Amino acid sequence: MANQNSSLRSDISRVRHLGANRSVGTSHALRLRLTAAALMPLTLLFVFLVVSLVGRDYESVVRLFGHRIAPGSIALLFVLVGVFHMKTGMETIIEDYAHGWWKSGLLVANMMFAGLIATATALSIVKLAVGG
Amino acid sequence: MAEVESASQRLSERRPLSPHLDIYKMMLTMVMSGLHRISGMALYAGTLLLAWYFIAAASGPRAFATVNWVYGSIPGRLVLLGFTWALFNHLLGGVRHAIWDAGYMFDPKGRELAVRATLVGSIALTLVFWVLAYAYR
Repeated sequence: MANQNSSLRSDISRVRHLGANRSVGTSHALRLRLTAAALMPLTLLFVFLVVSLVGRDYESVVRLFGHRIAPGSIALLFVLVGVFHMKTGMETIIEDYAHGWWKSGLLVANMMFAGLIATATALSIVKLAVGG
Repeated sequence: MAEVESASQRLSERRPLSPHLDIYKMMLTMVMSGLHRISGMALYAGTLLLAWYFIAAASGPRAFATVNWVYGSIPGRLVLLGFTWALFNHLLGGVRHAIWDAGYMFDPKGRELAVRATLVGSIALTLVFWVLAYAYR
């Protein structure tokens, strides 16, 4: 149906970018699903790593990450992809329930939390791997 | 202009909202849908535990001894048990949603089977994980 108010803008252009996400809803949905797909094998690998870590003392953990590439690689990849997935998922939740200043503030807090977790954990894993 | 805004505001206040949670009979599909989001949020908070373990291991023997003691304690183990269940529930819930995204299992039998499989599967995987963890300790 044509515009009723004799504007030249199409219907789609008038509603575009007005959703909860404002502009990147589709890429968000895709990103959430692609990272989810990547996390399925990664989670299983990481779970095996965790089983092998249970009950280990300090020396044994340091030796494991310092002498082998696989445990650190699995942990690092799991944490980075996982944090990216979790940040995107939390953005979806915030956009669902929070509005106005709350939304902006929570989105920034989410960004900072995700950045902090990813950086601190990744640095720690790398430090273990290079034998610090 | 201000008058137009307040008029439209009054209109939006009178406008009926679409019916939400409280008018529906509780069903397993909606409980599991809610649990998917809630377990995702729990995992969000749980990354602090994951970060703490690696930060402690990278920081030295004393920090690592603390984290090992906390995670080995009874309350610590209970929280980690919840963490593993949230992880497996969210993982299998993701598989379920991928199946639904692809357009399968939308019929009454299919969707009931899907949510039951998620629930039973996540509990089973959690048990397998903890049995393995205790066995290899």
